[in-house]
Amino acid sequence: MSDTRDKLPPPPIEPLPDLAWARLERVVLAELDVPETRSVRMPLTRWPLFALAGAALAGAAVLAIVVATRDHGTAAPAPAVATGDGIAGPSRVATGDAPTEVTFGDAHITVAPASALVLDGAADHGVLAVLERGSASFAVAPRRGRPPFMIQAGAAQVRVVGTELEVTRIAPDDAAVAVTEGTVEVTFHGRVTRVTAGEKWTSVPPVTTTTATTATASVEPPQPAHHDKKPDATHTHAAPAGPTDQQRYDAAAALELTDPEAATAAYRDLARGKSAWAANALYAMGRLAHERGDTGRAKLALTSYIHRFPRGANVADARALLLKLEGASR
Amino acid sequence: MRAAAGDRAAQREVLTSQRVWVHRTLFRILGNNRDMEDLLQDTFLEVFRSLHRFRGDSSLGRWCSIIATRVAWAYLDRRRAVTQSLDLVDEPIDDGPDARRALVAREAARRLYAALDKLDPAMRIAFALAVIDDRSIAEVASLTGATKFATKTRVWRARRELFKRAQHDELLAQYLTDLEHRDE
Repeated sequence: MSDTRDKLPPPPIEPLPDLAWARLERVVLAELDVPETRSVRMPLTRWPLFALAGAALAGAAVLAIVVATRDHGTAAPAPAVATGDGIAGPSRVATGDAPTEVTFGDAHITVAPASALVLDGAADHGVLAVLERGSASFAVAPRRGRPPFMIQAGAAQVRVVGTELEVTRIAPDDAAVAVTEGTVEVTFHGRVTRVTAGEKWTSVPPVTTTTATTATASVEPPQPAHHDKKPDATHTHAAPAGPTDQQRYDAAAALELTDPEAATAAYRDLARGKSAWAANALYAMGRLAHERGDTGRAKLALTSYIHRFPRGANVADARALLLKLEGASR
Repeated sequence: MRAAAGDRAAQREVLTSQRVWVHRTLFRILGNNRDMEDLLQDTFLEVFRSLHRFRGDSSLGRWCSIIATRVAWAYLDRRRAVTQSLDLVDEPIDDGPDARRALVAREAARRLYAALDKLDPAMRIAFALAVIDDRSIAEVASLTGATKFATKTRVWRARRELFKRAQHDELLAQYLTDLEHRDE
C-alpha cells in the first residue's frame, strides 16, 4: 500500500527551562548530603514549573517582578528593589533600556539593560540566580559557612563564596565571568575552574566582530589558565557580507517606538533564518505585537517561536506570555 | 565510581550527561512535563543512591533509563488520568504547509496521549517506548524488566486498544499508522 502524503512526525519532546535544570541539580545534590530519610525531601512542586513563567496568572508567591520598560532618554538606573530574605517564591527581574539594581538578601545585584535574571531561595538556605539573557553584576557578602550563592548562565555554573563579579550569558550555553573581588568556582561541562579577583573566565574566546574574511585575525589572545572551550569548539567562521544578524536585530529594535510596523517587518525578515538572532527576532515580533494589543499576531509569533526554537533563550517568557494571552481571551 | 563515593563534581557530571536522555524517557511515557521536575528528582536520587550497585555491565544511560521507567510506572499507578493539556495553536503564523503540518501533528499527539491515558501502565510504557520512541523490543524489555515476548504482547495489546479508540477518530488513526510505518 503506498501513501504519497507526508507522514506526521512523532511528538516533539518539550524541553525544560534552564531554571528547572538548575533547580533540579541544586535539590538533588542537597538531598544527597542529607541522610536518606524521605521525610525531609523538599518537594519541587513547592516551586511549580510555571510559577516563574506565569506568575501573575498562577497566583504564586512571586515577589517584585521588576520590568524597566523602554524609557528612552532615561540613563539612570531604576531605583533598587529590596526583596528581603525569606523569599516565598522565585523573583524575576527583566530590564529594558535601563539597568536595574536589586537587593536579594545580602547580595546586591545590578542587572544590565536588555537582561533577565531569576532569583530563588534565601541567604540562609542557598540562593540560585539564573541569568536568562544579558549580564548582571553581583556583590555577595561572604557566606561564612552559609549555603553558597549560585549563579547559572547557560551551561556555566558559578559558585560564589563572597565576592564581586560580573556574569554575562553569551549564547544558549556559553557565558563569561569577570571577578573583581574574592574567588568563585565556575563549573562548565564538568570542568571546574577557580577564578580569582582580577581574572576573567569565558567558555568561548572573545571575538571582535569585523568584516574581514576570517575571524582568526581578530581573536584576542586566549585568557591564560581560564580559557575553557567546549571540546568541539571551532574558532574560524566566515563573517557574513553586509550587516550581521545582530546588527539587523538592533536596527529593528531601534524602530519599535517610532515605526512599529517597520520594526515588525524587519523582525519577520530576520526570523526567517535559523540563527539565535532569528529566534530573538521571532520572539520580539510576538512581544511587540502583544505590547501593541495585537493578540492574534502575538499568539501566532510566540507559538511559532516555541515550535521552531524550543531551546531558545526566551522560551520561558514566550510560554508565560502565551498563558497570559490565552487567559485573557477566555 | 567517584559519583557513588560522593564526589560532587562527578555527581554533577552524571546529572549533566544523563539528564536529557532521562527526560526523554519520562516525556515519551507521560507525554508532557507536568510533574516532570518531581519525577526527575525521584529518578536521579534513586540513580545516585543505587550507583554502588551499578556494575558497568550495561551503560550508565541504560541504568538511568531503567530507573526512570520505574519512576514513571509508579507515578502512573498512583495518579488519576488527567486531560492532556498541550498548548494548542489557533493558527499558524503563516499559511505554509510546514506550519499547518506542525499544528496537525501537535493535535494528533494530544489525542494519542489522551488515549494512552486509558491504558494500564504496562501497555502504555511498552507502546510509548517501542512505537513512539522507536526503541527495540529488546531494549524496552530490559527497561521494564519483562521478557521480550511479554513486551511484544503489551505493545500488540496497546496497539489494538488504541486502534479501537481510533475507529471514530481519523486523525488518531492516521497518526498511529504513521508512527508504525515511519521508516517506510
